[in-house]
Amino acid sequence: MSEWIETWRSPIVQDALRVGVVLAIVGGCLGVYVVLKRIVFVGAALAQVSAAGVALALLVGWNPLWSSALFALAASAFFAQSWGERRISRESLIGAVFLTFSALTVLLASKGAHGMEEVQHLLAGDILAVAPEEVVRIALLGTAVLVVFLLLRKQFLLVAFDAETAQSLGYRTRWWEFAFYLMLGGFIGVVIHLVGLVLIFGYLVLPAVGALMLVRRMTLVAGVAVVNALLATVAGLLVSVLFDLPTTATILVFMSALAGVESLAGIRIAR
Amino acid sequence: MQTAPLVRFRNATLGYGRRQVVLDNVNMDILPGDFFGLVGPNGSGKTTLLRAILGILKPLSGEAIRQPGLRIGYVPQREMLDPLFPLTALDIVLMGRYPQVGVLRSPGRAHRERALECLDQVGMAEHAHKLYRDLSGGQRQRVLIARALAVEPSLLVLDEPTNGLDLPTEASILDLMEHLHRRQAMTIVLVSHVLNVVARYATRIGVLMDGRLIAGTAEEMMREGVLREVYGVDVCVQQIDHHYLVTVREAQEVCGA
Repeated sequence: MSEWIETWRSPIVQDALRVGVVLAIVGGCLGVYVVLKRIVFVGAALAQVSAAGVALALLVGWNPLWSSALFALAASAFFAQSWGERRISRESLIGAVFLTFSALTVLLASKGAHGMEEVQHLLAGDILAVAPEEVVRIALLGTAVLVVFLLLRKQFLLVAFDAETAQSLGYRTRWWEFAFYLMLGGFIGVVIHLVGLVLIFGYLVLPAVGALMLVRRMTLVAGVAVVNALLATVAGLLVSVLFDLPTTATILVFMSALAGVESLAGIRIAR
Repeated sequence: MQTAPLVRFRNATLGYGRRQVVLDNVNMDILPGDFFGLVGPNGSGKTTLLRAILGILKPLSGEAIRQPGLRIGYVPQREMLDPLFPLTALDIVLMGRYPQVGVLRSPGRAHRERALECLDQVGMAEHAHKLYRDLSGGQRQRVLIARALAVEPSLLVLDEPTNGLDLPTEASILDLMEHLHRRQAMTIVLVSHVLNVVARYATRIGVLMDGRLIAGTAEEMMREGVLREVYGVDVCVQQIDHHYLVTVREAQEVCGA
């Protein structure tokens, strides 16, 4: 037991916990809008494009943080475009981007110094391997994103719910959309090379799904999503350290379990 | 003295991109106090003209002039809104207050009270804290009208407000429109693909057909000859209780018989 407590108190686990708390708060808040705006797969595609940016940076010797952030911002600008009437659906385009950049990530990483190991790291990541200086960087970025999101949330809500009325009220919806994608893409771009695609995608989807199934008030949904994400982060880290399990997968299992329980509870309450 | 129009179109060509012209040579004034009915079949350009009235779409050529500082309360089609959002009726009506609230602030008590007043105005005060998705079609429509009123508009624009409603609900929504027009002197633009919905209450009517707009007073437009020319079929126009009723004339039928 004392050995385990010592492990839990180790700087590595404590740093992972700090990163997890930032991801939980920011991911929980943004995730509610990602799910409500039905852009879950935009989140996945943004994460995949960022991963390709990291793979390219590792291959050519650039800074992975800047490369992934740039890729994510470019993709955010692309996805923020109004789609209108085209020959293919928006979903098909998102799928095409996801697949293209998945393939590019594998190809670029396969030519890198560590080959497929890098791909594995980009996909699954390792929250326990985040360096202390990165923790500060993630905390600063997370705080900035959260403050901007909280200050502008009513505009994001209006544009997401009813863009045409927002336009009639004088809001430039394209810019508001771009601002949202910029926050989302920028955040994903910065954290992905540290914690991996799967974990960040999980933070954006699962806590929000549970919250939306459980509570019936917009004002409560983001709070419940953040609590979900925090609980899953702490429990996932604890259990993964205690039983020597992969951390990302353990956190995601807890998120899924919470979402499942809350969905069942929400259905019962609705009856 | 001629009253200045709230919205004026002069020789306006409306469309998208450079090539896709939807409406050509649009000339139309929306005057204060108008109940302007805009009617036309699906695909005739109603949405395009509506977007131009709202100021969302700029004309490809010609002029679309909106009175400076004009506030428009817009009521979109209910189907355009996603019921996934767990928003109450009050949450939605408060959206109409956002421009007055400011970008970085949250709506305070005064704005909430104004929103509740608007819900009361449309007979929805008791449903203020119910989820929008749990309301009936007619109740949702009233909430959207309340949101448009929360803007404190000079012009109320409604897109197909009676679509998908049963007859009593349709009548109650149209009565509410008439009430707002007559009692509160609200200027209204009502868009519908059903001529009788528009003909019943509108004081001026615009018909969209084959890429052009033909507009006039209800008396000018509700003539069998005009409607025959616009729709290409023989019609009967009857006036019942000062409301117009248009029906397609069967072969050998004598109108009014």
